[in-house]
Amino acid sequence: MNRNIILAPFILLSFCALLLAAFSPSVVPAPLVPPVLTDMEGSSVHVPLPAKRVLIFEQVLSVYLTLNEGPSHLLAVSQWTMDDMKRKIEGSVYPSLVKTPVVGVFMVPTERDVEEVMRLQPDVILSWCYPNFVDPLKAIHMSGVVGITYTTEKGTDYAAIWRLMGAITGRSSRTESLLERYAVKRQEVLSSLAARPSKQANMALLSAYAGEISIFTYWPFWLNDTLKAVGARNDTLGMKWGGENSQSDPEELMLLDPDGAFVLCDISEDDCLKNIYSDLRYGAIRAVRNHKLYRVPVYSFTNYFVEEPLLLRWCAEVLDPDVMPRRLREEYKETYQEVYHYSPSDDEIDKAIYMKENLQSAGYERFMRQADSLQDARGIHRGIKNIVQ
Amino acid sequence: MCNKELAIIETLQAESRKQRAEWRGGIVMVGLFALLCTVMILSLRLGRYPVSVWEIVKIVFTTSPIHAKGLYSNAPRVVVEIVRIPRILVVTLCGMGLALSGAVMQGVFRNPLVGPEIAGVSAGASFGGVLAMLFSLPMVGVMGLAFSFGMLALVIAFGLARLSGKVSMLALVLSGVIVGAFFGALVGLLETLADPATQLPAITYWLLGSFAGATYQKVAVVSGTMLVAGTLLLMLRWRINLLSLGEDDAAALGVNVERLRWAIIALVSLIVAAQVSVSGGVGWVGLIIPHLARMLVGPEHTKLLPASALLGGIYLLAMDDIARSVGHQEIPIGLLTAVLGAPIFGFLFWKTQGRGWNRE
Repeated sequence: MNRNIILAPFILLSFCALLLAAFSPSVVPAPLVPPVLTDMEGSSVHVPLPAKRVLIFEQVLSVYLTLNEGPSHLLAVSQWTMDDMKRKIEGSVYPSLVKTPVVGVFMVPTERDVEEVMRLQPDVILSWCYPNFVDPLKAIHMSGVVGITYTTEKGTDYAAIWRLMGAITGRSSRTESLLERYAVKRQEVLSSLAARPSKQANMALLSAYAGEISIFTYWPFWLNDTLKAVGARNDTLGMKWGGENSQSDPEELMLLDPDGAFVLCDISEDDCLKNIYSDLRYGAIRAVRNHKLYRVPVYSFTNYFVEEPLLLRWCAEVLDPDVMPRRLREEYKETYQEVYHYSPSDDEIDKAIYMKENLQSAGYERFMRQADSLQDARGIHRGIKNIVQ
Repeated sequence: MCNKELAIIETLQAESRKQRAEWRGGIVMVGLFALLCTVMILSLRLGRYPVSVWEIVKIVFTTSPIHAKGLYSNAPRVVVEIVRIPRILVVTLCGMGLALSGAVMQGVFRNPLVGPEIAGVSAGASFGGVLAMLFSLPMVGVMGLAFSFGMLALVIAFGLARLSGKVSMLALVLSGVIVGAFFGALVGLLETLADPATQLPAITYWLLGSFAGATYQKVAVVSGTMLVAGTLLLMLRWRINLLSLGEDDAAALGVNVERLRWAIIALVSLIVAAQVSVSGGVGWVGLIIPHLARMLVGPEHTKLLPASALLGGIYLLAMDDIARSVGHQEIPIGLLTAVLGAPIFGFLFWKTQGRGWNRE
């Protein structure tokens, strides 16, 4: 027997694999038939409009729910997106959302999810359009893949995301009316701020995880714009050390010595501010000394045109408590009633604005519901006094 | 019975033992190949999209994929031909390559704790891959840079080893450690520079090792490398036997020890660089599979190398099947091979320590 016969399986397998690779089957994309949609990457996608079988990997679930007024036609969402949404008020607004099937863990479809996606046969798949994220779906020329991005050449174009979602859900007129409502609500806050002194607050935009502070210079671009609108400045933007999201150096923060800080923490953390206040390393920083750390409310940044005016009002009331009328709670209630036909309870609002945790910080009692009633009582008292005078 | 008759009987018995051993080796080899084919077929069944066995058979055998260019509107065909087959081929070939390389290196270094990554090639290839991801290059770029830097690491390790004059195994191991540590540190540096929202998760998952996203391009890279480097290594199995006797004995038997050793290490590095470029870091396969194969066919490299290759293919394919079918999320295979590899290695240590690790 030829002793080299032992090599046969090895060579056979390698050779066959090479042959298969050389003459690999190729997938030719199906010709696009109208209606054709142009996604945010500029790719043409065939999507039956309005889409009846929608699969969401992206953080646009809140936009979809807002425009579609519920989870109907929602075929599946990624686990990450679902978990994120369950913790927000929208989770209470649409309790049937929890019954929506889940596909994939992250907002990125992996190769393993490709088969599941094929099984579900969606009309449209909303996915982040970074190459690695949509490659598995594009490799098989999966139809209906709509790429989403927040950063375009012009900057962050939320309106483009909303109009795209409006076309997909068949709710373009609702999209436009919500965009108009946003402009009015935003103007309301900015008009109230017109009377404020011209001094600009030096704030730091920080993130915290398990008691460790990081700085953000890039990621919460949405919050930087909001800060700018209310006349504050994110001082950490000018820091020269660190990357786009790096662990901070307490000495550098001391040098910066911001007046206050807005802190972003993971939604699951409960003691985010307490950990920083009790950490001796940060004790000398003015914002910590003066108890001016504020945890940023629960916020879906893609749901910009509904939630940004609320965040803007929150920032303005925190930064200019004397100028701004105190009506954040009412604003929450009005917004949810108008947009979602839902009345959030005081407990839900407390949770959204991190009432319990932020109460450690200066001036936050203005957002308390008890304080509301107290203020009302004072108002009545003042009114009575005026009448008497 | 006179001495002459006894000698004849002993010779016949030895001949019969040798034949039996050869038959046994042959049967083991056929058995392993059959098992590999079975696992490959079973793996074709695994996946989220339901495709029946009959449908798989029809897809694989009735229409040759070679002539299947055209419009793919048939989902089961896309699942089998575009999603599953490339992955199974890449996993099998990588498993075969890593185990073969491990068995070769353990023979050449005469050390059962040596793996194929010893020359720092894995770290170099990892650096190349991460660099490509940092610059958002497409997958072809990731593979190309990973492969190139793997080879660069090998050249640097060879160069460093040569600085000490006469190249010894110890010099090569030390230079491999230096090169590995250097490229490892560079990988860490690149990770700190990566965009935490988009690049860092991708880099982390790639470094943990995964066969997700296997394409026919990757099949070409691995199969081409295996066909050349793997076949050459297998053809050198007689000489590796001589090397495992020790430098002096091998030289006395007419082997140019230094040249052969460099050639073998270069071929192994080629395989490792190809593997890392398509799947990131997958450890332990090259370390434990040769020990398992040694338990099956003995220490003789003419049988050990092909048996290791087949067993490596079976092992990694089984691990990949577990990685992609257990739980909601795919487990990075590099983690799985390490989590399961360490206890298996411990078991082998317990089983074989009585006889010493170097049965050869």
